[in-house]
Amino acid sequence: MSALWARWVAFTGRPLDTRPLALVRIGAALCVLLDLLRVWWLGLVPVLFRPWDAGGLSTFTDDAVWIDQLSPLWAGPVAFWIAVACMACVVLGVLSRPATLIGVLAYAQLGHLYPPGDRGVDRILRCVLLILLLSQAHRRFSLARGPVVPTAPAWPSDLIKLLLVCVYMSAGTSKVMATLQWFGVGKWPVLYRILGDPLAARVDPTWTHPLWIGFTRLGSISTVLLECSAILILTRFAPWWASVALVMHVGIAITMELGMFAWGMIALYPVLFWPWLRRWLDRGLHTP
Amino acid sequence: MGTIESRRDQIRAVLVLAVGLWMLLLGTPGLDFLRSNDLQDPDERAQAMRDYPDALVWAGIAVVAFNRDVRMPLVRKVEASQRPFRLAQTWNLYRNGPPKVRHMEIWIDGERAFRSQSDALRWLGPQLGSRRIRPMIEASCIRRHSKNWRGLMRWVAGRAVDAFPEAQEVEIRCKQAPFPGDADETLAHRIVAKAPDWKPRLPK
Repeated sequence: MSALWARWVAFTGRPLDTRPLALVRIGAALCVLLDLLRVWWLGLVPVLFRPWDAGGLSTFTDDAVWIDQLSPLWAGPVAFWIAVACMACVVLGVLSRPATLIGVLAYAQLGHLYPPGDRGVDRILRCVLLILLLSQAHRRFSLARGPVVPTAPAWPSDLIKLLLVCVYMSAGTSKVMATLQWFGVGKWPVLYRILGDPLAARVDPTWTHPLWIGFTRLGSISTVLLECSAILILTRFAPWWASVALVMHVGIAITMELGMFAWGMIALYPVLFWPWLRRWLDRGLHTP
Repeated sequence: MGTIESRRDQIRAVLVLAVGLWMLLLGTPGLDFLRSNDLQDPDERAQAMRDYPDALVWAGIAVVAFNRDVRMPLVRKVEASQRPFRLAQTWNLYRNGPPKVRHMEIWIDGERAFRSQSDALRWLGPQLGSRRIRPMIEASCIRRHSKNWRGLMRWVAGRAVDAFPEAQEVEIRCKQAPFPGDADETLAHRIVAKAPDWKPRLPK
Protein backbone atom coordinates (compact mmCIF):
# COMPACT_ATOMS: atom_id res chain seq x y z
CA MET A 1 0.00 0.00 0.00
CA SER A 2 2.75 2.42 0.89
CA ALA A 3 4.48 1.72 -2.41
CA LEU A 4 1.22 2.37 -4.21
CA TRP A 5 0.72 5.57 -2.25
CA ALA A 6 4.27 6.69 -2.99
CA ARG A 7 3.59 6.17 -6.68
CA TRP A 8 0.40 8.22 -6.42
CA VAL A 9 2.25 11.04 -4.62
CA ALA A 10 4.94 11.01 -7.28
CA PHE A 11 2.32 10.90 -10.04
CA THR A 12 0.38 13.93 -8.78
CA GLY A 13 3.59 15.86 -8.25
CA ARG A 14 5.33 15.04 -11.53
CA PRO A 15 6.36 18.25 -13.30
CA LEU A 16 4.46 19.55 -16.30
CA ASP A 17 5.02 22.62 -18.43
CA THR A 18 2.74 25.41 -17.19
CA ARG A 19 1.94 26.67 -20.70
CA PRO A 20 -1.03 24.34 -21.43
CA LEU A 21 -2.63 25.32 -18.13
CA ALA A 22 -2.05 29.01 -18.86
CA LEU A 23 -3.63 28.57 -22.28
CA VAL A 24 -6.65 26.89 -20.70
CA ARG A 25 -6.87 29.70 -18.14
CA ILE A 26 -6.92 32.31 -20.89
CA GLY A 27 -9.27 30.39 -23.18
CA ALA A 28 -11.83 29.41 -20.53
CA ALA A 29 -11.97 32.86 -18.93
CA LEU A 30 -12.11 34.54 -22.36
CA CYS A 31 -15.10 32.38 -23.36
CA VAL A 32 -16.97 33.33 -20.19
CA LEU A 33 -16.00 36.99 -20.61
CA LEU A 34 -17.16 37.20 -24.24
CA ASP A 35 -20.32 35.27 -23.46
CA LEU A 36 -21.20 37.71 -20.67
CA LEU A 37 -20.38 40.71 -22.84
CA ARG A 38 -22.66 39.28 -25.52
CA VAL A 39 -25.49 39.20 -22.94
CA TRP A 40 -24.79 42.87 -22.17
CA TRP A 41 -24.60 43.74 -25.89
CA LEU A 42 -28.07 42.23 -26.40
CA GLY A 43 -29.44 44.30 -23.53
CA LEU A 44 -30.39 41.22 -21.52
CA VAL A 45 -28.55 41.85 -18.23
CA PRO A 46 -31.46 43.42 -16.32
CA VAL A 47 -34.03 40.92 -17.51
CA LEU A 48 -31.94 37.77 -17.06
CA PHE A 49 -30.31 38.50 -13.73
CA ARG A 50 -33.19 39.79 -11.68
CA PRO A 51 -35.72 37.67 -9.82
CA TRP A 52 -39.26 37.45 -11.17
CA ASP A 53 -40.69 39.94 -8.69
CA ALA A 54 -38.12 42.53 -9.74
CA GLY A 55 -38.99 42.18 -13.43
CA GLY A 56 -36.79 39.18 -14.29
CA LEU A 57 -37.48 36.62 -16.97
CA SER A 58 -37.44 33.43 -14.94
CA THR A 59 -40.34 32.61 -12.66
CA PHE A 60 -38.03 30.58 -10.42
CA THR A 61 -34.53 30.73 -8.94
CA ASP A 62 -32.36 28.12 -7.24
CA ASP A 63 -32.61 28.02 -3.47
CA ALA A 64 -28.81 28.49 -3.29
CA VAL A 65 -29.15 32.06 -4.53
CA TRP A 66 -28.45 34.63 -1.82
CA ILE A 67 -27.36 37.65 -3.76
CA ASP A 68 -30.93 38.79 -4.48
CA GLN A 69 -31.43 39.31 -0.75
CA LEU A 70 -29.01 42.25 -0.94
CA SER A 71 -31.05 44.09 -3.56
CA PRO A 72 -33.47 42.31 -5.90
CA LEU A 73 -33.08 45.09 -8.44
CA TRP A 74 -29.32 45.61 -8.52
CA ALA A 75 -27.58 42.60 -7.01
CA GLY A 76 -27.80 40.54 -10.21
CA PRO A 77 -26.40 43.25 -12.52
CA VAL A 78 -23.68 44.04 -9.96
CA ALA A 79 -22.72 40.35 -9.76
CA PHE A 80 -22.68 40.33 -13.55
CA TRP A 81 -20.15 43.16 -13.74
CA ILE A 82 -18.08 41.64 -10.95
CA ALA A 83 -17.92 38.42 -12.98
CA VAL A 84 -16.95 40.38 -16.10
CA ALA A 85 -14.17 42.27 -14.29
CA CYS A 86 -12.85 39.11 -12.65
CA MET A 87 -12.81 37.14 -15.90
CA ALA A 88 -10.89 39.99 -17.57
CA CYS A 89 -8.34 39.79 -14.74
CA VAL A 90 -8.05 36.01 -15.14
CA VAL A 91 -7.47 36.36 -18.88
CA LEU A 92 -4.72 38.90 -18.27
CA GLY A 93 -3.30 36.96 -15.34
CA VAL A 94 -3.65 39.95 -13.02
CA LEU A 95 -4.70 39.14 -9.45
CA SER A 96 -5.57 35.83 -10.97
CA ARG A 97 -6.29 33.78 -7.85
CA PRO A 98 -8.64 36.17 -6.03
CA ALA A 99 -10.23 37.09 -9.36
CA THR A 100 -10.90 33.42 -10.13
CA LEU A 101 -12.47 32.76 -6.73
CA ILE A 102 -14.65 35.88 -6.70
CA GLY A 103 -15.47 35.60 -10.40
CA VAL A 104 -16.59 31.98 -10.17
CA LEU A 105 -18.69 32.76 -7.09
CA ALA A 106 -20.37 35.69 -8.86
CA TYR A 107 -20.85 33.62 -12.01
CA ALA A 108 -22.43 30.83 -9.95
CA GLN A 109 -24.82 33.31 -8.37
CA LEU A 110 -25.88 34.43 -11.85
CA GLY A 111 -26.63 30.77 -12.58
CA HIS A 112 -28.60 30.38 -9.36
CA LEU A 113 -30.51 33.54 -10.18
CA TYR A 114 -31.39 32.44 -13.72
CA PRO A 115 -31.18 28.62 -13.85
CA PRO A 116 -32.59 28.11 -17.38
CA GLY A 117 -29.61 29.92 -18.90
CA ASP A 118 -26.91 28.20 -16.86
CA ARG A 119 -26.01 25.14 -18.90
CA GLY A 120 -23.54 22.26 -18.80
CA VAL A 121 -20.77 24.33 -20.35
CA ASP A 122 -21.06 26.94 -17.58
CA ARG A 123 -20.61 24.25 -14.95
CA ILE A 124 -17.70 22.71 -16.84
CA LEU A 125 -15.90 26.04 -17.11
CA ARG A 126 -16.49 26.86 -13.44
CA CYS A 127 -15.02 23.46 -12.49
CA VAL A 128 -11.97 24.08 -14.65
CA LEU A 129 -11.42 27.60 -13.32
CA LEU A 130 -11.57 26.28 -9.75
CA ILE A 131 -9.05 23.57 -10.61
CA LEU A 132 -6.78 26.25 -12.09
CA LEU A 133 -7.22 28.42 -9.01
CA LEU A 134 -4.87 26.12 -7.09
CA SER A 135 -2.48 25.60 -9.99
CA GLN A 136 0.39 27.68 -11.35
CA ALA A 137 -1.56 28.60 -14.50
CA HIS A 138 -1.25 32.30 -13.66
CA ARG A 139 2.55 32.09 -13.76
CA ARG A 140 2.73 31.98 -17.56
CA PHE A 141 1.36 34.29 -20.27
CA SER A 142 0.46 36.78 -17.57
CA LEU A 143 0.74 40.55 -17.13
CA ALA A 144 1.25 40.21 -13.39
CA ARG A 145 4.62 40.82 -11.83
CA GLY A 146 6.32 37.80 -10.41
CA PRO A 147 8.58 35.01 -11.52
CA VAL A 148 7.67 32.83 -14.45
CA VAL A 149 7.21 29.25 -13.28
CA PRO A 150 8.18 26.98 -16.19
CA THR A 151 6.96 23.72 -14.68
CA ALA A 152 4.51 22.77 -11.93
CA PRO A 153 2.82 19.60 -10.66
CA ALA A 154 0.70 17.97 -13.35
CA TRP A 155 -2.40 17.26 -11.28
CA PRO A 156 -4.51 20.17 -12.67
CA SER A 157 -4.05 18.83 -16.17
CA ASP A 158 -5.00 15.33 -14.98
CA LEU A 159 -8.18 16.59 -13.29
CA ILE A 160 -9.23 18.56 -16.37
CA LYS A 161 -8.73 15.42 -18.47
CA LEU A 162 -10.78 13.39 -16.00
CA LEU A 163 -13.54 15.99 -16.16
CA LEU A 164 -13.56 15.81 -19.96
CA VAL A 165 -13.76 12.02 -19.85
CA CYS A 166 -16.75 12.23 -17.49
CA VAL A 167 -18.52 14.83 -19.64
CA TYR A 168 -18.05 13.12 -22.99
CA MET A 169 -18.75 9.62 -21.72
CA SER A 170 -21.90 10.80 -19.92
CA ALA A 171 -23.07 12.40 -23.14
CA GLY A 172 -22.25 9.27 -25.13
CA THR A 173 -23.82 6.73 -22.80
CA SER A 174 -26.99 8.78 -22.32
CA LYS A 175 -27.35 8.92 -26.11
CA VAL A 176 -26.90 5.16 -26.44
CA MET A 177 -29.37 4.54 -23.61
CA ALA A 178 -31.89 6.92 -25.14
CA THR A 179 -32.24 5.54 -28.64
CA LEU A 180 -30.61 3.15 -31.06
CA GLN A 181 -31.15 5.73 -33.77
CA TRP A 182 -27.71 7.13 -32.98
CA PHE A 183 -26.39 4.06 -34.76
CA GLY A 184 -27.92 5.23 -37.99
CA VAL A 185 -31.25 3.41 -37.95
CA GLY A 186 -34.50 5.24 -38.69
CA LYS A 187 -35.68 7.34 -41.60
CA TRP A 188 -34.39 10.64 -40.23
CA PRO A 189 -30.94 10.37 -38.60
CA VAL A 190 -30.68 11.88 -35.11
CA LEU A 191 -27.99 14.33 -36.16
CA TYR A 192 -30.15 15.51 -39.07
CA ARG A 193 -33.01 16.20 -36.63
CA ILE A 194 -30.76 18.00 -34.16
CA LEU A 195 -29.04 20.14 -36.80
CA GLY A 196 -32.43 20.87 -38.39
CA ASP A 197 -34.17 21.86 -35.18
CA PRO A 198 -35.39 25.41 -35.85
CA LEU A 199 -35.33 26.22 -32.14
CA ALA A 200 -31.65 25.40 -31.71
CA ALA A 201 -29.91 25.09 -35.07
CA ARG A 202 -29.34 26.85 -38.35
CA VAL A 203 -29.82 24.13 -40.98
CA ASP A 204 -33.16 24.15 -42.81
CA PRO A 205 -34.85 20.81 -41.99
CA THR A 206 -36.58 20.78 -45.38
CA TRP A 207 -33.17 20.37 -47.02
CA THR A 208 -33.16 16.59 -47.42
CA HIS A 209 -30.54 16.03 -50.05
CA PRO A 210 -29.44 12.37 -49.91
CA LEU A 211 -25.85 13.46 -49.34
CA TRP A 212 -26.87 15.49 -46.29
CA ILE A 213 -28.98 12.64 -44.90
CA GLY A 214 -26.11 10.21 -45.49
CA PHE A 215 -23.62 12.60 -43.91
CA THR A 216 -25.77 13.07 -40.80
CA ARG A 217 -26.32 9.31 -40.55
CA LEU A 218 -22.57 8.80 -40.55
CA GLY A 219 -22.20 11.77 -38.22
CA SER A 220 -24.65 10.25 -35.73
CA ILE A 221 -22.61 7.07 -35.49
CA SER A 222 -19.33 9.00 -35.32
CA THR A 223 -20.62 11.25 -32.54
CA VAL A 224 -21.58 8.34 -30.31
CA LEU A 225 -18.35 6.47 -31.02
CA LEU A 226 -16.30 9.58 -30.31
CA GLU A 227 -18.07 10.34 -27.05
CA CYS A 228 -18.02 6.76 -25.82
CA SER A 229 -14.31 6.49 -26.59
CA ALA A 230 -13.44 9.54 -24.51
CA ILE A 231 -11.43 7.33 -22.15
CA LEU A 232 -8.68 7.73 -24.78
CA ILE A 233 -8.18 11.20 -23.34
CA LEU A 234 -6.23 9.54 -20.54
CA THR A 235 -3.87 7.83 -22.96
CA ARG A 236 -1.17 8.93 -25.41
CA PHE A 237 -3.85 8.97 -28.12
CA ALA A 238 -5.41 12.10 -26.57
CA PRO A 239 -4.26 14.49 -29.34
CA TRP A 240 -5.67 12.20 -32.02
CA TRP A 241 -8.97 11.88 -30.17
CA ALA A 242 -9.04 15.65 -29.66
CA SER A 243 -8.48 16.25 -33.38
CA VAL A 244 -11.70 14.43 -34.21
CA ALA A 245 -13.56 16.11 -31.34
CA LEU A 246 -12.31 19.48 -32.56
CA VAL A 247 -13.96 18.86 -35.93
CA MET A 248 -17.20 17.94 -34.14
CA HIS A 249 -17.15 21.11 -32.04
CA VAL A 250 -16.38 23.37 -35.00
CA GLY A 251 -19.32 21.70 -36.78
CA ILE A 252 -21.54 22.41 -33.78
CA ALA A 253 -20.40 26.04 -33.69
CA ILE A 254 -21.24 26.49 -37.38
CA THR A 255 -24.57 24.67 -37.50
CA MET A 256 -26.10 25.29 -34.09
CA GLU A 257 -26.96 28.25 -31.90
CA LEU A 258 -25.45 27.03 -28.66
CA GLY A 259 -23.46 30.16 -27.89
CA MET A 260 -20.11 29.48 -26.29
CA PHE A 261 -20.60 25.71 -25.85
CA ALA A 262 -18.28 24.63 -28.64
CA TRP A 263 -15.66 27.31 -27.94
CA GLY A 264 -15.78 26.64 -24.20
CA MET A 265 -14.99 22.98 -24.80
CA ILE A 266 -12.26 23.77 -27.33
CA ALA A 267 -10.73 26.17 -24.79
CA LEU A 268 -9.87 23.14 -22.64
CA TYR A 269 -8.09 21.29 -25.42
CA PRO A 270 -4.56 22.66 -24.88
CA VAL A 271 -4.13 19.98 -22.22
CA LEU A 272 -5.10 17.34 -24.78
CA PHE A 273 -3.06 18.78 -27.63
CA TRP A 274 -0.05 19.53 -25.44
CA PRO A 275 2.29 16.86 -26.90
CA TRP A 276 1.80 18.48 -30.32
CA LEU A 277 1.49 22.08 -29.11
CA ARG A 278 4.75 21.83 -27.20
CA ARG A 279 6.67 20.90 -30.34
CA TRP A 280 5.03 23.72 -32.26
CA LEU A 281 5.63 26.34 -29.56
CA ASP A 282 9.22 25.23 -28.94
CA ARG A 283 9.99 25.27 -32.64
CA GLY A 284 8.60 28.82 -32.77
CA LEU A 285 10.83 29.87 -29.90
CA HIS A 286 13.95 28.45 -31.49
CA THR A 287 13.35 29.93 -34.93
CA PRO A 288 16.00 32.65 -35.49
CA MET B 1 14.16 14.43 2.69
CA GLY B 2 12.93 13.38 -0.78
CA THR B 3 9.95 14.76 -2.62
CA ILE B 4 7.65 11.92 -1.60
CA GLU B 5 8.32 12.49 2.08
CA SER B 6 7.48 16.15 2.06
CA ARG B 7 4.25 17.02 3.83
CA ARG B 8 3.16 19.31 1.04
CA ASP B 9 3.35 16.53 -1.50
CA GLN B 10 1.38 14.25 0.77
CA ILE B 11 -1.37 16.83 1.30
CA ARG B 12 -1.53 17.50 -2.43
CA ALA B 13 -1.84 13.80 -3.17
CA VAL B 14 -4.67 13.44 -0.64
CA LEU B 15 -6.54 16.46 -2.00
CA VAL B 16 -6.17 15.41 -5.63
CA LEU B 17 -7.41 11.94 -4.73
CA ALA B 18 -10.40 13.44 -2.89
CA VAL B 19 -11.29 15.73 -5.79
CA GLY B 20 -10.83 12.91 -8.28
CA LEU B 21 -13.11 10.62 -6.31
CA TRP B 22 -15.66 13.44 -5.95
CA MET B 23 -15.63 13.89 -9.72
CA LEU B 24 -15.92 10.16 -10.34
CA LEU B 25 -18.81 9.86 -7.90
CA LEU B 26 -20.74 12.81 -9.26
CA GLY B 27 -19.67 12.99 -12.86
CA THR B 28 -19.22 9.52 -14.32
CA PRO B 29 -22.03 8.33 -16.59
CA GLY B 30 -25.23 6.89 -15.25
CA LEU B 31 -26.87 9.61 -13.20
CA ASP B 32 -28.09 11.84 -16.02
CA PHE B 33 -31.78 11.15 -16.64
CA LEU B 34 -31.76 8.32 -14.02
CA ARG B 35 -35.28 7.65 -12.68
CA SER B 36 -36.01 5.73 -9.51
CA ASN B 37 -38.04 3.13 -11.42
CA ASP B 38 -35.73 2.63 -14.42
CA LEU B 39 -35.71 -1.03 -15.57
CA GLN B 40 -37.76 -2.08 -12.52
CA ASP B 41 -40.99 -2.73 -14.35
CA PRO B 42 -41.24 -6.24 -15.97
CA ASP B 43 -42.83 -4.77 -19.10
CA GLU B 44 -39.98 -2.29 -19.50
CA ARG B 45 -37.45 -5.10 -19.03
CA ALA B 46 -39.24 -7.28 -21.59
CA GLN B 47 -39.23 -4.40 -24.07
CA ALA B 48 -35.51 -3.86 -23.44
CA MET B 49 -34.89 -7.60 -24.04
CA ARG B 50 -36.61 -7.28 -27.39
CA ASP B 51 -34.48 -4.27 -28.37
CA TYR B 52 -31.08 -5.31 -26.99
CA PRO B 53 -29.14 -8.56 -26.39
CA ASP B 54 -30.04 -10.22 -23.06
CA ALA B 55 -26.55 -9.92 -21.61
CA LEU B 56 -26.54 -6.19 -22.29
CA VAL B 57 -29.92 -5.76 -20.60
CA TRP B 58 -28.82 -7.65 -17.48
CA ALA B 59 -25.65 -5.57 -17.36
CA GLY B 60 -27.82 -2.46 -17.70
CA ILE B 61 -30.09 -3.59 -14.86
CA ALA B 62 -27.05 -4.14 -12.62
CA VAL B 63 -25.57 -0.74 -13.47
CA VAL B 64 -28.89 1.05 -12.92
CA ALA B 65 -29.33 -0.74 -9.57
CA PHE B 66 -25.81 0.24 -8.51
CA ASN B 67 -26.34 3.87 -9.50
CA ARG B 68 -29.74 4.04 -7.84
CA ASP B 69 -29.03 2.13 -4.62
CA VAL B 70 -25.35 2.79 -3.95
CA ARG B 71 -24.24 5.87 -5.81
CA MET B 72 -27.30 8.09 -5.53
CA PRO B 73 -27.42 8.03 -1.69
CA LEU B 74 -23.73 9.02 -1.61
CA VAL B 75 -24.34 11.73 -4.19
CA ARG B 76 -27.13 13.17 -2.07
CA LYS B 77 -24.75 13.33 0.89
CA VAL B 78 -22.09 15.35 -0.94
CA GLU B 79 -24.48 17.34 -3.10
CA ALA B 80 -24.27 20.39 -0.87
CA SER B 81 -20.59 20.78 -1.74
CA GLN B 82 -21.53 21.68 -5.32
CA ARG B 83 -23.93 24.44 -4.50
CA PRO B 84 -21.80 27.51 -3.68
CA PHE B 85 -20.05 27.26 -7.04
CA ARG B 86 -22.96 25.57 -8.85
CA LEU B 87 -20.86 22.65 -10.04
CA ALA B 88 -23.50 19.92 -10.45
CA GLN B 89 -21.86 17.21 -12.52
CA THR B 90 -24.94 16.11 -14.42
CA TRP B 91 -24.58 17.40 -17.94
CA ASN B 92 -27.88 16.51 -19.60
CA LEU B 93 -26.30 17.07 -22.99
CA TYR B 94 -28.14 16.35 -26.22
CA ARG B 95 -29.76 12.91 -26.23
CA ASN B 96 -31.99 12.06 -29.16
CA GLY B 97 -33.03 15.23 -30.96
CA PRO B 98 -36.55 16.57 -31.43
CA PRO B 99 -39.23 14.18 -32.74
CA LYS B 100 -40.92 17.01 -34.68
CA VAL B 101 -39.99 20.22 -36.43
CA ARG B 102 -41.02 22.96 -34.02
CA HIS B 103 -41.19 26.63 -34.87
CA MET B 104 -41.90 29.61 -32.71
CA GLU B 105 -43.58 32.70 -34.13
CA ILE B 106 -44.35 36.09 -32.61
CA TRP B 107 -47.39 37.95 -33.90
CA ILE B 108 -48.08 41.58 -33.03
CA ASP B 109 -51.59 42.80 -33.78
CA GLY B 110 -52.09 40.03 -36.34
CA GLU B 111 -48.79 40.58 -38.13
CA ARG B 112 -46.01 38.08 -37.93
CA ALA B 113 -42.82 39.70 -36.62
CA PHE B 114 -40.64 36.69 -35.86
CA ARG B 115 -40.32 33.09 -36.99
CA SER B 116 -37.51 30.78 -35.98
CA GLN B 117 -34.92 30.21 -38.75
CA SER B 118 -36.50 32.93 -40.91
CA ASP B 119 -34.16 35.51 -42.43
CA ALA B 120 -37.02 37.91 -43.13
CA LEU B 121 -38.90 37.74 -39.81
CA ARG B 122 -36.18 38.61 -37.31
CA TRP B 123 -37.70 41.00 -34.78
CA LEU B 124 -35.91 40.21 -31.47
CA GLY B 125 -33.96 37.58 -33.42
CA PRO B 126 -30.53 38.11 -31.79
CA GLN B 127 -32.05 38.08 -28.30
CA LEU B 128 -34.22 35.02 -28.94
CA GLY B 129 -31.22 33.23 -30.43
CA SER B 130 -29.14 33.88 -27.31
CA ARG B 131 -28.16 30.68 -25.56
CA ARG B 132 -29.55 32.12 -22.33
CA ILE B 133 -33.08 32.54 -23.69
CA ARG B 134 -33.19 29.69 -26.20
CA PRO B 135 -33.78 26.96 -23.55
CA MET B 136 -36.82 28.88 -22.35
CA ILE B 137 -38.19 29.11 -25.88
CA GLU B 138 -37.60 25.42 -26.41
CA ALA B 139 -39.35 24.50 -23.16
CA SER B 140 -42.27 26.83 -23.88
CA CYS B 141 -42.76 25.36 -27.34
CA ILE B 142 -42.41 21.72 -26.32
CA ARG B 143 -44.82 21.86 -23.37
CA ARG B 144 -47.94 23.96 -23.13
CA HIS B 145 -47.49 24.43 -19.39
CA SER B 146 -43.73 24.88 -19.22
CA LYS B 147 -42.14 26.44 -16.15
CA ASN B 148 -41.45 29.78 -17.76
CA TRP B 149 -44.10 30.54 -20.36
CA ARG B 150 -45.27 33.50 -18.29
CA GLY B 151 -41.76 34.93 -18.05
CA LEU B 152 -41.16 34.58 -21.78
CA MET B 153 -44.46 36.22 -22.69
CA ARG B 154 -44.06 39.04 -20.17
CA TRP B 155 -40.66 39.90 -21.60
CA VAL B 156 -41.76 39.64 -25.26
CA ALA B 157 -44.84 41.77 -24.57
CA GLY B 158 -42.74 44.37 -22.79
CA ARG B 159 -40.36 44.59 -25.73
CA ALA B 160 -43.29 44.79 -28.15
CA VAL B 161 -44.83 47.68 -26.26
CA ASP B 162 -41.45 49.47 -26.29
CA ALA B 163 -41.01 48.94 -30.04
CA PHE B 164 -44.66 49.39 -31.09
CA PRO B 165 -46.38 51.69 -28.53
CA GLU B 166 -49.73 51.31 -30.30
CA ALA B 167 -49.73 47.51 -30.05
CA GLN B 168 -52.82 45.89 -28.52
CA GLU B 169 -52.08 42.20 -28.72
CA VAL B 170 -48.95 40.04 -28.74
CA GLU B 171 -49.08 36.36 -29.46
CA ILE B 172 -46.49 33.59 -29.33
CA ARG B 173 -47.45 30.69 -31.58
CA CYS B 174 -45.77 27.32 -31.22
CA LYS B 175 -46.14 25.26 -34.37
CA GLN B 176 -45.10 21.73 -35.19
CA ALA B 177 -44.86 19.44 -38.18
CA PRO B 178 -43.48 15.98 -38.84
CA PHE B 179 -39.97 15.90 -40.27
CA PRO B 180 -38.84 17.26 -42.66
CA GLY B 181 -41.29 20.01 -41.80
CA ASP B 182 -42.31 21.08 -45.31
CA ALA B 183 -45.99 20.16 -44.86
CA ASP B 184 -48.77 19.58 -42.32
CA GLU B 185 -47.66 22.29 -39.92
CA THR B 186 -50.17 22.69 -37.11
CA LEU B 187 -50.55 25.08 -34.21
CA ALA B 188 -49.53 23.28 -31.00
CA HIS B 189 -50.45 26.07 -28.61
CA ARG B 190 -50.45 29.83 -28.19
CA ILE B 191 -49.46 32.28 -25.48
CA VAL B 192 -51.27 35.60 -25.62
CA ALA B 193 -50.97 38.97 -23.89
CA LYS B 194 -53.37 41.86 -24.53
CA ALA B 195 -53.51 45.53 -23.61
CA PRO B 196 -54.09 47.07 -21.18
CA ASP B 197 -52.91 44.61 -18.51
CA TRP B 198 -50.59 42.53 -20.78
CA LYS B 199 -51.10 39.55 -18.53
CA PRO B 200 -49.78 36.33 -20.19
CA ARG B 201 -52.51 33.80 -20.93
CA LEU B 202 -52.67 30.32 -22.40
CA PRO B 203 -55.86 30.17 -24.50
CA LYS B 204 -57.43 26.76 -25.09
